[in-house]
Amino acid sequence: MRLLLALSGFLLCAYAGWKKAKSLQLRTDLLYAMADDITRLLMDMDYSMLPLCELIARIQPCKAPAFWKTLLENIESNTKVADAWKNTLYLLKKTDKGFSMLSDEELTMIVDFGMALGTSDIVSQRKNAEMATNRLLAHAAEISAVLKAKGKAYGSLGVLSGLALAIVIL
Amino acid sequence: MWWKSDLKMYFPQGLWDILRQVEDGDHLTEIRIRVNKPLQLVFGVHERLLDYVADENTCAFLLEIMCDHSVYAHEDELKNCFLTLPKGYRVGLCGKAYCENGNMKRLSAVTGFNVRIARECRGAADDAMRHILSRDGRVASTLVISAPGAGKTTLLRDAARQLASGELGLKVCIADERSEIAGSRLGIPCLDVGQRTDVMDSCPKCVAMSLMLRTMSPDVVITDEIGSYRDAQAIMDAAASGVSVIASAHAGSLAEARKRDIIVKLIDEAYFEAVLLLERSGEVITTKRVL
Repeated sequence: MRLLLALSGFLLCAYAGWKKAKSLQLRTDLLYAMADDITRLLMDMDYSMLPLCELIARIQPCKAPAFWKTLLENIESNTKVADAWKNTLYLLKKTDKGFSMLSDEELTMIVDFGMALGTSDIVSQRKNAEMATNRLLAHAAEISAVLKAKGKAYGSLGVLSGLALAIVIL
Repeated sequence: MWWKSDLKMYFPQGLWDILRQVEDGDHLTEIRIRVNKPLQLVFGVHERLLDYVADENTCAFLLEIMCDHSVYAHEDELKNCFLTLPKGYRVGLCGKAYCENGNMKRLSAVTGFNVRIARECRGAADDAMRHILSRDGRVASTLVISAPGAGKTTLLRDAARQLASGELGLKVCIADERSEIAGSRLGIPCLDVGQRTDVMDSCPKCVAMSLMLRTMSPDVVITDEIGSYRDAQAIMDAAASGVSVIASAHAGSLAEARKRDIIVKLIDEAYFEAVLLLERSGEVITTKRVL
């Protein structure tokens, strides 16, 4: 019985350490993906001047498909783009693994971009997208650096504390 | 009513709830929305003020919806204070303009909308076709003139449909600068302009006419509201290439039309073989050949 308990404790701690490292990885990937998709959206906007819904439906290659698909559904139900954008983010924060890892600061960065999406001329759209991608990329780089420095440490810490717990239990 | 199904998605819910209750909408010609003013419906010569007042937020949202949430895609139209919705509904805009060096850059706040109800009226060009088609079956270059709201665009659309369909089967090109003739969305005509008709949408008409002459080998070119020297030059180029042109211009009479230099030149130098005047009297529109 004790052996089983010790094993469970070890696995739980190891998982917690791994999850912490993994959440950093997921956040970084998602921020890079959003920055890439926003850049792609702007490129298509600049080239084709198609309506926003058409552009969103056509983003290829798309790195955060869950986000754009949900956004498209929300826009089509006769809401403001800014509201649809915000609702999509908060909905995915509850339901999507990647978005649920984002901090409030990161969510705000993405929300800010959506506030002005589609509401102004192409020059302003470009500036808005440039600002958003710069912020996202800078933040993603910071998390990436943390991941590099502490990613393995979180994993090791989990395993070590798991071992300690197991020894105490035994 | 056709306009209810066409326009439903372009009005915020509160405003639409009022509009959808309009029962005598068959004769509706304009819906006018102004910030802090009652909603105005125009029925040809009559009007009605409704008990609905739009605020700034409603107007901002209305603009967003009418632009398909994509103001950037309508910059040129907004600079010229109009928008065209699918199926040819033209929306005139007013508000706070931002200018630079005396030129209009954009409308920074839109506070007035005039939604003109589009009508696809088959047979509107029946009378005009007697003048447009000569006895040997050739299409005469024709200028259609009338005061605003008498049905020039409707006539041009139906003329295109008749020329490009059936036995005539001509290759018709439409230079549709304001998307009103063909009511295009994403370049695809939403109104019936005939089976053999090509449309150059949202392009300055002089540029469109010149491009289509070179690339689409048309028999007939149709365009709306000519007014500049460049338009006149494009029409002269078409005539020199043996292509017939059917165009329209704002004027209440031939005398008024002749107050513009380019119209005088085009008529006097016989670039137009026929001039038709449309006159509206209540609901009845008559076509009269004045040259």
